Amino acid sequence: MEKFENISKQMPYEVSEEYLNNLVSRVTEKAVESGKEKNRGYAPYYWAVSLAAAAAILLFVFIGNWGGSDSRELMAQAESPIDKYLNGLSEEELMQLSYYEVDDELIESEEETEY
Amino acid sequence: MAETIQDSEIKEMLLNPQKTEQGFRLLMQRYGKALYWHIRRIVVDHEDAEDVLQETSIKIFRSVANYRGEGKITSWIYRIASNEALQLLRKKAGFFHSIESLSPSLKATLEAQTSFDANRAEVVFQKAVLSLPAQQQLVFNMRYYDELSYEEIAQATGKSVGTLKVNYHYAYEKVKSYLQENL
Repeated sequence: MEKFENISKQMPYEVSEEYLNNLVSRVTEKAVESGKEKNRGYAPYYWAVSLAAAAAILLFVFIGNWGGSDSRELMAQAESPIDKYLNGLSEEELMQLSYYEVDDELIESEEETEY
Repeated sequence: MAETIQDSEIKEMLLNPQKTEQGFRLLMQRYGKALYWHIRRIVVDHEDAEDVLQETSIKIFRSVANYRGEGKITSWIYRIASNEALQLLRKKAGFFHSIESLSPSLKATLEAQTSFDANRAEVVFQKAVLSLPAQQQLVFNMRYYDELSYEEIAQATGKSVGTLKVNYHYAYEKVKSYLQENL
């Protein structure tokens, strides 16, 4: 049996030194290139994110203002004829209206007691 | 493998953003071939070794930004190379099988890619190493072939020096008995 220590550490493959040197320089160049591409690749990404954020803020402000005025208009349109009538009444007229309401209630309660 | 002045210079360059590229080139110039052989001992096939070396170098260059200069530079690059090589084997083994299940096919590839004038003892030796469990194989290769210190291997594998010594001892004994049976 051949002794463990006597077996050379050489690998049983045929790969020339020249080939290996070329391989190493090739992979090195590709790695550097890919690293630079990665960095370049981030630049448009940052721009796109910044632009999207700015657009979102502008849109939010615009919708906020527009939405506010729109909602007020909608509220005005949604006013019923009774509301319009009530809005047009003076305070005295309003008091009279509430007096009648109270009066009605009194009449109702009086009617109930008759039984 | 002793850390020379060149290693510390490379480390300084890698840590300096303006000299990173230069440092990386020097690093690959110095350890590129060793990394190729380290990877090839694991994956066996030449084309696979080329692909893994390419991935390893890309990973090294991209992770320079995260490299803090702690530990030896060899531990850092061997860790990346070992992970890449093992990842390829895991892919080849598939989800339901361990890396060890690839041992017969790796031995067959070894036979197929052996040079005509190769020493038979070297081939048997490689087969013995390929018969080892992945962890023992990794430790054996880094210690025996690459002559890394246990501390360097510990940094590269994340295992304790004691565990690595035990792993190496078992691996050494297994290789020895394989040679006794096959030579």
